[in-house]
Amino acid sequence: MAPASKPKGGSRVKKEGKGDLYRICGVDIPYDPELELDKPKPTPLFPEYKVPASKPLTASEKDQVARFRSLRESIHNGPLYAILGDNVRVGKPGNKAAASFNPFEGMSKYSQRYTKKRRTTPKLDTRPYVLKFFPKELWSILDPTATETNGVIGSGSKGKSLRIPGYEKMDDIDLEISGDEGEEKAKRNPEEDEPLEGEEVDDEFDDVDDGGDYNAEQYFDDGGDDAGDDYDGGGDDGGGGEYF
Amino acid sequence: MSRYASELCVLLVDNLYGELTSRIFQVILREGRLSIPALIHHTGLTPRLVKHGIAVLLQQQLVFWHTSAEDATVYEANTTAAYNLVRAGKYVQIAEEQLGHFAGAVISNLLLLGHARVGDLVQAYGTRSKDKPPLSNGSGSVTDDNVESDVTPKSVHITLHDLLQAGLVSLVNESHFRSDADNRIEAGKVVPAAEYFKNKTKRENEEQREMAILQKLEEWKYPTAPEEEEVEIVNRGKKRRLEDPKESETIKRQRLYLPLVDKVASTAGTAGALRIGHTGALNNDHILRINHDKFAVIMRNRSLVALAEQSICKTTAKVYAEVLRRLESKVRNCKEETGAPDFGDGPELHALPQVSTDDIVAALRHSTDLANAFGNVDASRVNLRQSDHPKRRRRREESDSEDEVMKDGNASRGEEEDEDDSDSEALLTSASSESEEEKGEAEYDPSSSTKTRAKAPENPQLNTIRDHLLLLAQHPYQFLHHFPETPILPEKWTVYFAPLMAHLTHHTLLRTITSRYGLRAARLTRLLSEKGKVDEKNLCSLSLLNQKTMRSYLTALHQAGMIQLQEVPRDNSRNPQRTLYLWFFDIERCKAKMLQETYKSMARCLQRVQVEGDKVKSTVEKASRSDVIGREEEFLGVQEREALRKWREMEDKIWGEVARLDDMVAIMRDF
Repeated sequence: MAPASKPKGGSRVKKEGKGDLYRICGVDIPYDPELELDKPKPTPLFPEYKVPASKPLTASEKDQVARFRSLRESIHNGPLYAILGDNVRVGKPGNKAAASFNPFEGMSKYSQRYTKKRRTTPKLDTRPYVLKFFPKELWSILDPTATETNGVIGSGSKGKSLRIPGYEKMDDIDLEISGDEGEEKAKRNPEEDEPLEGEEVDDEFDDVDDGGDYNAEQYFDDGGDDAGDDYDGGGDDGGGGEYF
Repeated sequence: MSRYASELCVLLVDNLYGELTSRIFQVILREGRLSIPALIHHTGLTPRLVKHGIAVLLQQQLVFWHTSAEDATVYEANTTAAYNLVRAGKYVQIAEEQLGHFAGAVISNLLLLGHARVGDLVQAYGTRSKDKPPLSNGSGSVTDDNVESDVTPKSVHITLHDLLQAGLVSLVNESHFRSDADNRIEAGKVVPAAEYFKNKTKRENEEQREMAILQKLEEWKYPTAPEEEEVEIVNRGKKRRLEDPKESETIKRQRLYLPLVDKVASTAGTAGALRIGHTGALNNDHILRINHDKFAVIMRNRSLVALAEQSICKTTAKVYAEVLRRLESKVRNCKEETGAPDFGDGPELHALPQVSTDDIVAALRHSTDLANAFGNVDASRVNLRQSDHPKRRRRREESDSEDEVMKDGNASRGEEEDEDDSDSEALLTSASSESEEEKGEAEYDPSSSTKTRAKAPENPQLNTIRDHLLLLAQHPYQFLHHFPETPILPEKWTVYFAPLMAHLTHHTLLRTITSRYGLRAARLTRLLSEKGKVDEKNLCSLSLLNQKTMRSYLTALHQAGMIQLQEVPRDNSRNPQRTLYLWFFDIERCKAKMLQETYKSMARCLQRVQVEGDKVKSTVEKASRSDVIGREEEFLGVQEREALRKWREMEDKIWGEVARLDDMVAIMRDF
C-alpha cells in the first residue's frame, strides 16, 4: 500500500471505541493508509557487504608464481603428465559425448592438427629409474629388462638418460616426436602391452574403431595420424628401443 | 586428515600431474592403504593405467609403499608431500636467493623429476649440444633463459654439492618411501631384541631398545650415505690403503664427510678446508631429492624476519636475518628442538646452536644504514622512566628516594634495576622463562657496551650491531637470547624457537581476527588469552567497552569458533540465573579451526581456478597450438588476446593468494 494513495481531501472520522478509520469519498476504508509499513524495516535478506579485497601481489610473490607456473608447464609437457581419456569410465557416466557436442566449435577442423595432444598414459620409458625405490610389481612397466639376483638389481637398459627441458640433445627431441606418435599408435593397439585381466581390456577394444565405419568426428584425426605414421616409415614399433 | 585438506591435496596433484594420477591419489587418500587390485576395483581404471599412475606418484614420492612378508604391496598417500607441491614456486625462489640462479634451476628440475641419481642429472645437463640455444618450453620467461650456457658437468657437481651442503637437497633411502608406522616396524626388525641389551632390569633393556629404534629412525630420516656403500667404503678403504695411502685418505674423507651436512656445518672450521680439499665431485650413485624440512626452516626464518620488521624496524630485521642465516645450517628441522630443553634450565639453553657477535659483524660490515636506524640522543636527555608503566614509575621513584637516602651509588642501583627489569619482563610475557641472571645481564648493557667500545675501537659497526642485537633480545617476543662475554667464551647469541613460535602464531591469529572482526574483537581475544577464563562483567570492565557492543563482538567470535564459553553452575539446579558464564580463548583450538579454514579457502581458490579456466578453455587451447605459439599477434584476435591476458592475471592472483594462505598454514602447522 503506497502512501501516495492517501486521499487528499479524505476527512478523518473517528468511530467511537473502534479506533481511527479513514473515509474516501464517503466510503469507509478498513485500514490506515498512513500506516508506514516499512518502519521498522525488516532486516534485508542480502545486506550490503563489502567484499574484502586482497592486496596486490608483491614483486617477490609474482616471481614465485611465475616460477611455479613454469615448473607446472614443464611438468605438463613432460612424460609423466596424463589426463584421463574419453574411453575411461570412472564413477557415474557423465553426460554423453554426443549430448555435450558443440555443433559450432566441436567439428573437426584442419587446425586441430596443431593442437597439443595430451597423453592418456604416462610415458614411463623415457628415463632411468632407481628401481630399488619401487615395488617389484611395478618393475615390468618401468624397465622390462630389470632383474634381481641376490639383492643386486640389474638392468638391461643402460642407455637411457634423464632429459631436462632446455638441455635436450637435438636427436633426443626428434626421438620424442616420433616416440609420441609411436605411443599414440600403441594406444590404438593395446594388445601389444602386457596381457591384462580380460574384461578391463575389452573396454578399450570397444572404443577402438576398426576403421570400417565412417566417423566424421575422427576424420581428420585418423588422417593426420596415418600420415604421420607413413612419414615415419612405421619404424617405431619397438617403442623404447631407439633411446640409445 | 580433514576433508578440506585432502580435497586440497587432490586438487594440487590434479593441477600438476593430471587427472589420471589425481584420481588414483584421491582413492588412496579416501580408502587408506590399498593394494593394486583394490585400487583397480576402486578407481575403475584399467590395470595398466593404475600401474602407470602409481609409478608416477612413486617417482614424485606422493605415495608410500610397503611390501609385507606375504609379498603383497600396499600403497598409502603421502599427504605432506602432496601439500608441499603448493610450495614449489617458493622452493625455487629460495634456492635462487641462497645459491644463485643455476641452483634454482636445478631445484626446479629436481621437483620436475622427483628423485634422481647424481650421475643421471649431470649427464642430462651435459648432453646439451653447445651451439644450439636452449629450447624454451613455451613458458620460457623464467626457466633457463638467463642461465649461463657453459654448464659443465663440473659446475653441476659443484651446484649439487652446494645444495647438499646447504641441506636444500638430501639423499634418499628406502625409508623415505615408507610411512612412519612402517618405518617404525622396520626399525623394530633391524634393532636386536630387548634381551640383547645387558642391563639389570627388563625395563632398562626396553628403554635402551627404544632408544636404539629412535636412533635408527633418525639415521634413516637423515641418511648420510647409502648403506651398501658404507660397507664398500670399509672394504675398499683397506685395499686402497695398501696401494696408495694418500689417495685412499682423500677418497675416504670425501665419501664420509660430504653428505654429512650437519657434521660439516657444526664444525665450522673444517668446512672450508674440506671444500677446498675435495675435487667438487659428488658420487654419481647418490640419489637426491628435495629436502622439504630444510625449506620449512628457511621459510620460518623468513617469517620471523618479517615479524621482527613489523615489531621493531627494517634495519634490525636485517641484522636478525643475518643471525638466522648463520644459525640455519645448524637447524635441520623446525620441530626438532621442541620439547627438548626444559625452561629455566641454564645448560639446556646453552646447548642450542649459537652465533657469536664477531661473525655477525663480519657479515654485516659493509652495510651502511645500520647506524641511521637509531636516533642519536644525548644520554643525559634520556629519561628511561618515561617509558615505564605508571605503576612502575611510581615505585621506582619511591625506591630512588630511598637510594638517595642510602647514597649507595651504583651497586645497589644496579641491583634495583635488575629486579625491576625482571619484574617487567614477567609482566610483559607471562610465559617468559629466561633465567634471571641472564636477563639481568642482557638488560644491563651500558657498562658492557662501553667496555667493548674501549676494547675494539677499530670497528665502528660493532656497537651499532650490538645495539640492534640487544634490541632484539630485549623485545617482549625475545627474538634472541644473549650470552654475555665470559673470560673464556666470546659474546654469543642464540634463538630459542619454541616460545618465539608461540608468539608468531598468536600474532598471526590476531591479525586474522582483526581483519575479520575488527580491532575490538582482537583486543577482546588478546585480553582473554592473557587473563584466562573471564566472566562477562569483568571482561566488560577490562575491555572498556559497553556491554552491548562487547556482546556483539563476543557472539561473532564465538560463532566463528575463535573463543569458547564455559558454563559453571553455582548450585545443583543448573539454573541459568545461577550459572557463571566464562569466556576463554584456547589458542590450540583456534589454531586448528583457522588451519581448517585456511585449507578450505585454498581448496576453494584452486577450484575457482579450474572453473575460470574452463571458461577460457578454447582460447587457451588455441593459444597453445603449435602453429600459434610465437605468432600470437597474427593468429589471435584482439578479444582473444585480451581474454588470455585477463586469465593469466587472474590465475597469477589466485595462485599468489594461495601462496599467502600457505604461509599461514606453515606458521600454524609446520613451524
